[in-house]
Amino acid sequence: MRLLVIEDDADLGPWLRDALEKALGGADLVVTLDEARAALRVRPLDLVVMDRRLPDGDAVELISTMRRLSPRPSILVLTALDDPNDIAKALDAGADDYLAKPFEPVELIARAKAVLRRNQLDQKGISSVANLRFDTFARAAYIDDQPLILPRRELALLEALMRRAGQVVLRENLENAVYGFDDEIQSNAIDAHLSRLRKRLREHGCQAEIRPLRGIGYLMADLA
Amino acid sequence: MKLKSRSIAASAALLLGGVISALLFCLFVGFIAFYGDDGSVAQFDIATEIKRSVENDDARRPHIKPTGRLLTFQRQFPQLWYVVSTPQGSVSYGEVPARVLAGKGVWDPPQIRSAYGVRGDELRLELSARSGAESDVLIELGGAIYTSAEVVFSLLREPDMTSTLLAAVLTIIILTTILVVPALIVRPVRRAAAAAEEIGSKEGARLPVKGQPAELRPLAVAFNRALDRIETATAEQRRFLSNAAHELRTPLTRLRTRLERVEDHKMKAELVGELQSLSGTVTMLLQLARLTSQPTEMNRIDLVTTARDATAREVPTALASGVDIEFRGDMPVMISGSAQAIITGLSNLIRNAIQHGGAGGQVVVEVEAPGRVSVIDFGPGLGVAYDGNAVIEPFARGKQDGSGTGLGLAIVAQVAALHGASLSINETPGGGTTATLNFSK
Repeated sequence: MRLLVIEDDADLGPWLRDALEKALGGADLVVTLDEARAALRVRPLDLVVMDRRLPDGDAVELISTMRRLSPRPSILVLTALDDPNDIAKALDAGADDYLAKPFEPVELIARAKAVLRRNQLDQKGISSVANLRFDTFARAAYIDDQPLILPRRELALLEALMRRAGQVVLRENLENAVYGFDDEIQSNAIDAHLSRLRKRLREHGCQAEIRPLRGIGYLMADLA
Repeated sequence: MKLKSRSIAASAALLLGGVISALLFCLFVGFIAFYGDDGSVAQFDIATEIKRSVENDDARRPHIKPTGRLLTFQRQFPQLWYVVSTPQGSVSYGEVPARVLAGKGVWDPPQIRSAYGVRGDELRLELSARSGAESDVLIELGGAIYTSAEVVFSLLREPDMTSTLLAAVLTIIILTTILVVPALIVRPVRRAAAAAEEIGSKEGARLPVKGQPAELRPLAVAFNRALDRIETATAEQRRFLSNAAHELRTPLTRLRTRLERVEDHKMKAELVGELQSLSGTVTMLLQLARLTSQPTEMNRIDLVTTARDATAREVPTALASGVDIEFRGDMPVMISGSAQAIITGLSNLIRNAIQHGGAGGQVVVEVEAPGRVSVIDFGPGLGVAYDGNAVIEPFARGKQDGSGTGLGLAIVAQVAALHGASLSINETPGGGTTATLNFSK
C-alpha cells in the first residue's frame, strides 16, 4: 500500500504521515503542489490525502490529473473550508471523500479505509466488511473465504448493501436493486428476504451485521 | 394593509382616450362651426315639429295645434314662417313671402326655405313645391337658421345617421386605446420583470439593457448595479468566512495532533473533549454566519426526502452514541425551500436529540403533510418550551449544565426564519423534547 500526504502544515503533515503509515502502510509527505506533481510521476499510489490550501495554489487542480492515472489513487480531501460550495467543488472535481478539520484520528483512518474499499470495489469489484467479502464481478459472497450460497433476491440485497458498506442504504434503493420493473413489489417482501439473509449470515459466523434503521433503510456494519 | 397600486398604463390609456375623444368632438364642433347651417338643419327640425302639430278637420282641411317645441321654435326664430297645404286647403304662420304664395317654387332664391312632403310618417324634401301631388301634406317653411351651437344641440337631442356613426367611431377609438396602450406600456415592463425573476440567485446574471425601451433602461442599469454591489458583498463575505474557517480550524487541527503526544490518558481524554466542543462551536458559528449572510436558493423540494437524507447522515452519530434512530413519513410532502439549509437545521436538531436522549434512547424524525417535520426524543427534556416567536439568542442555554452552547437552536431558528417557517419546542408526551419546524404557512 502506497500513500501520499499533501499537507503544508509543519505539525499536521508529519503527524498525518505517521498515523496513516501506522494504520495502512508506507506513506510519503510533500508540502507543495510542485512536489506533489513530482511524487505522482514517480510511482503508482493507492491513496492521496490532501489539504486544499497549499503555498503554491489550490490542490483541487491536482485532482483531475490524478483521475487520469492508472491505477487511479483514492482521493481524500482534508478541508478547513466547510462551505458546502467548496466541498461540492472538491467532490465534483473527482475527490472520493472529504473530511473537515479538525478531525479525530480514528475518523481519518475510518474514512481512508472507506475510500480505499470503494476504490477497490470500482477497480477490482471487491467489497469486504469484517470476514464478509463480496465479489461484484463474479456476483459471489464469501465468509472467511468460504463461498456462501444465496438465493437470487438475497444475493441482490447483499450486493446493494455491500456496494455501500458502512453507509446507510435507503429502503427504496434496496427495492430497486432487488426487483425489476415488471416485478410486483410487496411492501413487506423485502423484510422477509432481509430477515432470511440476516439469519443465514449469522449462522455462517459472519462478523458483519445488517442493521435495520426504521423508516430510513439498512446499514452493513462491522459487529466489532 | 394592502397597498393600492396605481397602474400607469391604465391612467395613460384613460388620458389618451379622453384626449382623443375631446379632440374628435372639437373637430366635429369645429366642422359644424365652419360650415354652419344653411337653414336645412333648423328647417328639418321645425318641419318635423310642424308635421306633429298638423291636425285635419272633418273637411280634411289642415289645422295647426302647435306642440310645445313648435312654440319654442316660433319664439326662437321671429322670422319663421310656414305654410301647410293639403289638397283641401292650407294654413300658414308668420310672414309668408309673396313668391311662395304665388307658387313660384321654393328654390328660387335658394336661401333659407324648404319644402317637405309628408307621406305617412316620412318627411321628404320636395324638390319642386306644389308639384308634389303625391304628398298628402306639403310643408313649406323658411326664415330659420341654427347657429353652430344650436346645430350641435339639435344633433345631440335627436341623433341622425352621421352622429350615430361618429359616436360609434369614437367608442371604438376609446376602447382600442384602453386596450392597446396598456399592452404597449406593460409588455416591456412585464418582460423586464420576467427577466429579473429569472435571475433569482444565479450568480453573474443581469437584466438585458440593450433591448429595453428608453424609459426602462435607467431602471435596468440601476438594478444591475445593485446586483453588482450585492454580489461583491456576498463574495467578500464568503471569502471572509472561508478565511475565518481556515484560520480557526488550522490551529485547532494542529492542537488536536499535539494532544496525541499527551501521555496522561485521563488528561488527554479531557483535553480532547474540550477541543471537540470548541470545534463544534466553531462549526456552528460558521454555519450560523453562512445562513445569516449568504443568499439562500429556494426550490421545490420534497420534505420527506430532505428530512430522510438529514436523518441518514446522522445515523453514524446515533449508532456511536447507542441511540436508536427512526424516520416516519412516506408520501412526498412538497415545499419551497433550500434542502441544504433544512438539512443543516435538522442535523442540529437531531444531534441535540441524540445528545439529550441519552444512551439507549430513541430519536424519531417525523414528517407530516402539509409541511411539518418534528424531531422527537424521549430523554429527560430540556425544561423549556418555545413557541416560535421569541428570538433565540446565540449562546442562550436551556439548562445551565454546560452541555451544548445554544448555538444549535439559533441555527435552526435562522433556518426557520429563512423559510418563513415556525419553530416550536414542546415536551414529548411521557417525557422528552419535541422540536417542530412548520413550513406550511
